[in-house]
Amino acid sequence: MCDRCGCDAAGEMIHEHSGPHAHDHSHGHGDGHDHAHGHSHAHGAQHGHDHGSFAHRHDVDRGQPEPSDRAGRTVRIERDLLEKNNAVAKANRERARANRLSIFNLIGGPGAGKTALLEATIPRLGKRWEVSVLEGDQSTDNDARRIKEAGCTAFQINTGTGCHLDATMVANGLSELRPRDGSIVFVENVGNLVCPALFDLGERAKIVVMSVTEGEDKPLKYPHIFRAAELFVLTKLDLQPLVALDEERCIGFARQVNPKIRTLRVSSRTGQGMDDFVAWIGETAAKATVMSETTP
Amino acid sequence: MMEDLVSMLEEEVGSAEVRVVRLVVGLESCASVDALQQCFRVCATGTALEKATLDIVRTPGSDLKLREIEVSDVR
Repeated sequence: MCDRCGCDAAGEMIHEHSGPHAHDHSHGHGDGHDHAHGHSHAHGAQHGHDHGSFAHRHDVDRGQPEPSDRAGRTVRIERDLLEKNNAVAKANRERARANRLSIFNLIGGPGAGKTALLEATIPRLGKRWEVSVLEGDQSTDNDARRIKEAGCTAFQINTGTGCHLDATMVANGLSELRPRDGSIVFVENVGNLVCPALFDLGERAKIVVMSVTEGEDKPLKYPHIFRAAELFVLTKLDLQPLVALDEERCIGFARQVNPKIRTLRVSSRTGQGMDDFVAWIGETAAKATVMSETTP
Repeated sequence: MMEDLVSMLEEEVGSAEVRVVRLVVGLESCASVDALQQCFRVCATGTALEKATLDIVRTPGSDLKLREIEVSDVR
C-alpha cells in the first residue's frame, strides 16, 4: 500500500501530492485512467495497488511534510441535519401525550403581536383551562413579566445570539415550568419568520402570527412557515383603517402557499375575533387531550 | 444546526482535516442556503472544519441532510 495515500482502501478516494517525489513501488492501472506526471517516479519495491474510480495526482517532494503528508478521501455519511433536534422533539411530544399537555408554538416576526395575543388569550382561556407560557427572546425577561401580569405561569428562555427556539430549549423550559397535567402550554418563539419554521419543538400545532401593519405578501415571501402552520392569525385588526393591507389578498396568499391553513382575524386590543381564537385553541387542546387518553 | 453538524463531524473525522462538507438541501426544506453558509463559517472557525468549504446540493423535496465529506488524513 502507498504509505501516503492509503489508496488500496475500499471506496472512492482522491489523493493529491503537491511536489516532486519518488515512489518506491509499482502500481497497475487496469481501469485505463489518465493522470499527469510532471515528475519522475522511481518504482523499486514491487507491490500493486488498485485504482478504481478515483483520480489522483502525484507531485510531491518527500522532504516537505506539508501539504504532502495528507491523503484525501470521500466519506459517505447520509445523516439528517435535524436528527438531534427531532429526537428531542419526539421526546417532548411523548411527554406532552403522557401528561395530556397541548403545546402551541407561536411564530411571527418581531412586533407581530404575539405577546399581546397571549395577554388577551390567557384570561379568556383561564375559565376553562390552566395555561402556562414559555417565552423565547434573545434577551430580557420583559415578555415573561407581561405574561405573568396577565395571570399565568411563565418561564423566559433567552437564546443569546440564537434566532429561534429548539426542542432542547423547550424540554428544559418545560422542566422549569412544570405545567399541570391536562393544561395548555404556549411557546412564544423568538421573533423571526424564517428559522423557527425548521425546528420541530414537539408542539401540537404551529401558529403563524402576522399583523395588518406588515406587508400583505408576507405569506409569499416567507412561505415555509405558512406551509408548516395549522393556523394563521392576522392581528392588530383595530389598526386596519390606518394601513393599506388588503386582508382578503393576504389570506389568499396564505392559502396559495398552504390550502389547508385556517385563518383568524383578531384585535387583542378590542377583543375582536378573540372568541374564535380561544375556541380554536380550546377545541384543538380538547382533541389532543382525548387522543392522549385513548392512545396507549 | 451548524453547531451540531460541526461537533458531530469533529467526532467523526478525528485528526483528519475536512476539505468539503456536502449537504443536500431541499427547496421545500425551509432552510436558507445563505444562512447555512454563514452559520457554517461561524461554527467551523477554530475546528477541524475551519478550512472546509460547504457544498450545497439543491433538490426538489424537503431533504435537509449531510451527504458526505471529503477529508485529508494528516500524518
